[in-house]
Amino acid sequence: MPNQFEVTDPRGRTIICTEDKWRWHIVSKHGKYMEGYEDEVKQAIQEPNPGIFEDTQRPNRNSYYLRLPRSRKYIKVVVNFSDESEGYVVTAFKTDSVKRGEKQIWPTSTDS
Amino acid sequence: MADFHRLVKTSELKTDKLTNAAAGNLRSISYMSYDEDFDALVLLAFEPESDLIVHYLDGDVALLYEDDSMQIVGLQVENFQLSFVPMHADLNKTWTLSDALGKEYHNLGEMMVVVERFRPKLAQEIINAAKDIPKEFAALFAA
Repeated sequence: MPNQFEVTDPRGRTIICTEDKWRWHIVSKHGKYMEGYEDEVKQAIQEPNPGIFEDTQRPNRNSYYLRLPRSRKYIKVVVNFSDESEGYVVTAFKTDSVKRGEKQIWPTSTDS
Repeated sequence: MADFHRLVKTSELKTDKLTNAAAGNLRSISYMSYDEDFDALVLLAFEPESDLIVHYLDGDVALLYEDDSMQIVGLQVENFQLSFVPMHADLNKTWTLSDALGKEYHNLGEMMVVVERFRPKLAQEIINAAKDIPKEFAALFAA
C-alpha cells in the first residue's frame, strides 16, 4: 500500500501515514476541511507543541498535538506503535484541547 | 494535573441548531460512523458547514462543533468498544446485536436492513450513556 507520507518524530521514530488512511479515514471522516492540512499534520509529528501524549487506555498509542497559529485549535494526530521504532497514523483531526487523562511524554523535563 | 491546554470553554459553544432541529424548525440528519482502527464512533446531527472541531468533555466523550458558528453538530466517543460500550448495559446489548444474533442472513442487503433498524436505537443509547452533553441531543434523537 503506498504511503501518503513518512516523517520522523523528535524521538527519532518513523511515523507512516498510508494513502488509504489519509484518503478514507482522515479526509473523508473528518471532513473535506482536513484535506488542506497535510503539512500541519506532518509538522505535528515532527515538531509537536505542546508535545506528545500517551493515550489514556492504550500504552502503544500516542497523540501528537500542534497548536495552530492565530487560532484556538490544535491539530491532533493519533499514532499506533507496534514497536519503538515505527508507528502508523490512525487518525488526525482538529481539537480545542488536549484530552483529559493523556499523559505528556515529550518533551520531558530533561528534554527542555 | 495539567490544564489540558484548553483553548475554548464549553460554555462558548452554541446549541441553537440542535434546539431548532429538536423543535422541528430545522432539518437534521442522523449520520453515524464507526472507525475501527481509532475505536471511535461519530454521531452527526448536521452536515458541518465549516471546520469540524473536537471539544473534549470529561473522559472519552467529545462534542463536535463548527469552527465558524461554534454550533454543536455532533458527538465523538473514543475508546468506544474498549471501554464505553462495556460500561453501559443497554448500549452493550444493542451494539453486540444480541437480539439479532443467530439469524441467518442471505445477503448484505438483509444485514443492512438490520443495521438500519438498530441505528436509531443505537443513537439514543449512546446519547443516554454520554454524560454532560446538551439535553437537546436527547430531544433530537428521541423520535
